[in-house]
Amino acid sequence: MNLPMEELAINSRRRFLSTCLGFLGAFLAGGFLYPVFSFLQPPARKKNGEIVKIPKADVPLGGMQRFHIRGIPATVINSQGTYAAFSLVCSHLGCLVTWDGAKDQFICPCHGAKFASDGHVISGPPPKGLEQLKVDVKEDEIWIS
Amino acid sequence: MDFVNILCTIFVASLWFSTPFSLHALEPAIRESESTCVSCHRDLEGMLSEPVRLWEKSIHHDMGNGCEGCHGGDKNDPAEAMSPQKGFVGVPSTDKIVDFCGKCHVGVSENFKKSVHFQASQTNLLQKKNTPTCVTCHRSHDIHKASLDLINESLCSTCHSFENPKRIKEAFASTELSLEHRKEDLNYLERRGMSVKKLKEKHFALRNTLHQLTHTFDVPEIQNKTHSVNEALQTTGNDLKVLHRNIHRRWWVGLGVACFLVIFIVVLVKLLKTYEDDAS
Amino acid sequence: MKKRLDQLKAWLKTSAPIPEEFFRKVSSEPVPHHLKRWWFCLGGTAAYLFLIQVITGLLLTFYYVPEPGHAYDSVYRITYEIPFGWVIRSIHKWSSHLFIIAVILHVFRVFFTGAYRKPRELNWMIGCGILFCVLTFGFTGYSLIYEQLSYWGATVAANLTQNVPLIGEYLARFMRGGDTVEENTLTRFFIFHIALLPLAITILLTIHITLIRLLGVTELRFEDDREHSTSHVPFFPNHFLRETIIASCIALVITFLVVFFPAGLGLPADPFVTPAHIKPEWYFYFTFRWLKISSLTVGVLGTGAAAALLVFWPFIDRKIEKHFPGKDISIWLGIIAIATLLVFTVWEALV
Repeated sequence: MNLPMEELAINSRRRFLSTCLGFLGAFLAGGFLYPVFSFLQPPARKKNGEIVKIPKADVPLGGMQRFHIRGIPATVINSQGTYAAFSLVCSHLGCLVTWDGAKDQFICPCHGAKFASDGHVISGPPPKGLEQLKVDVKEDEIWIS
Repeated sequence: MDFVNILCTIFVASLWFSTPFSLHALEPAIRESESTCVSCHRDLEGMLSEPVRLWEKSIHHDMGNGCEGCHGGDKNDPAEAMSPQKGFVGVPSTDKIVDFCGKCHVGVSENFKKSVHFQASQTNLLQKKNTPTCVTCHRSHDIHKASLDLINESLCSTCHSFENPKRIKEAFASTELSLEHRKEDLNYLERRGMSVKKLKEKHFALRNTLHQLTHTFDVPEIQNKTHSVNEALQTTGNDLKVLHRNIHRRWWVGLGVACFLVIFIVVLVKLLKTYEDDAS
Repeated sequence: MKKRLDQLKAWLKTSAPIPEEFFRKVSSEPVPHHLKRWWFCLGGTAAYLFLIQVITGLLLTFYYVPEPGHAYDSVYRITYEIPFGWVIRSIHKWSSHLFIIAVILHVFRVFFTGAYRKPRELNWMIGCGILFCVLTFGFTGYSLIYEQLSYWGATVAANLTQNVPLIGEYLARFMRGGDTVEENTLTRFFIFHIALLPLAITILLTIHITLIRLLGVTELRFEDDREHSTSHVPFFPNHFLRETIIASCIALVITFLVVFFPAGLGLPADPFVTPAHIKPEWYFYFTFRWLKISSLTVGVLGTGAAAALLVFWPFIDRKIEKHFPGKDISIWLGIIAIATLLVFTVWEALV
């Protein structure tokens, strides 16, 4: 039973309020989604400064010893008397490489990539070499960090 | 009809049957744990029932330490309850009291044995009978939570002047107070959702170093250590400030969200009103 | 822009040929005028809170580990380490309480307006099913935290089940997956809490709402409604807006509770030490008190009888009405029942 003018006023009022509601609702939704997205991004577990100690006797000439550092599988090799440590994670797609002492190189079982004893790519698809770890040779132990 | 009748009968019957059982089921946990020592001694005459009454109001009772905790024996078997084979000791002799309590209060008894109070008894400075032991200050059965009030003139001056005890009390008083305040603060932070597990552990360790110190009765040592505890309290105080700031930040964000919601509700109400005006 | 939108609409229409009529009919269902009172919207409020529970619960499962050795630690991690973990967990906690309050108040409202009477008896019974689901939700959810109180609460509840006549032994073993509360129990509670109960409650809710739609809500007319020319308003937008207002008010309350009283964490569960004061959540105080003042078998049977009484109330009520017409005996019985409920709850809360 509204008069035309009144109806017009109600309609424009309604449209204004709906627009306000839309904006506020969008803000509220954003305000809720932000915590949800951060919730799904867990903080990194800090494990810096971990040092793994391996006795020299465990790594003979041409041999290797596997270990875990910061939750990553890694290896220390003895290539012609010098010790070097690498992460075993292939830089291509994350498979674990194996050490071939006889050929003095790492081989990735997934896509056949080969790495030299200093970690450089010899052949295959990896974009870069194996991640090298810091090695500290003490009296009869190797400290890797 | 039958089915409804059965249901109603079951309900009424269950109410009816429950009454005779109600009393015995009321405090099952407490009744079960009462030892034979307590149930027997409670009804004995005079002096023999006194320990039960005193113990019931003590901190040992509140913390769940019964007769057998100190006196040994078997609390579940009336026949063997006071058998020396089961480690029962009725009244320990004066020189055994410190070890009697030291079974549990290890750190305290160690410090006490190094103290002038204990040494006095070893060097026969005092007659054996008058040697101060644990029970001299803490009493035997009505043991209450230890507080600085135990160091008071009337108690200390039964043997010596109050001069040194007073100094000890003063050294402790302020530190003890800040420790208490810190405890309250930590509890508050925990209630407001802050992680205080590590801080509480630290606080507990600090409190222990202080409390073990009490029984050395060594004035310079106590003054030194209370000072270092005070310093430690100040350094951890900064961690707490960060947590307080976190809580306040949460409050502000919460307030912001609330304001936003209020505006949202107001707009909703206005919008609804346009439709309701339409309908009427 | 508008053209693109129209194209999209046309495409949708051909790919999902649902007649527009259907949506219009579903959304504009006329709603009686008396529903503008908030206590007639409690069912909708509960549904909204259920939605919050689903969303926050789903998020919590991203980090929760249902294994005795890790459960407590994972809850600890959610509460104190994961960004906004405390918010999600606190929302889940507080809206669970509000959810139960809303459901209970909804039951009261339906009871006192006689909305369970013919032809709505079946829907009342389904509603009771939802109520039991909600209570089981609360119990299993609380046990998942694996702190001292939740562990011992689960132990006590399992031992209670043992006293159900005939099938008690089987029920208790089924609940625990063993003779004591152990890793099987936690896995079971977890599956109940996140899979079986949500499934059950979703099915029941669907039937509940469908039946409401088919039967319509009970028509009531209040004194001050008479002056309105129209007795019905459309569901959308009128009633929908009203429900949204209530939902926003609830969101305001939850915000307040979450910020000032975030969910905490007690001591981790220790199967060798029973804490001094075990108490269930407040919505079980009534049963807990009842069990304390009666013997075990009677207590369990009495609880079962009370539940049966609630479920079959529409039929019992009809008998009463037939024998004593127009005396409002049901209302008085309801008041007595609620008074008992309150007395038992307050009694337990004070002790």
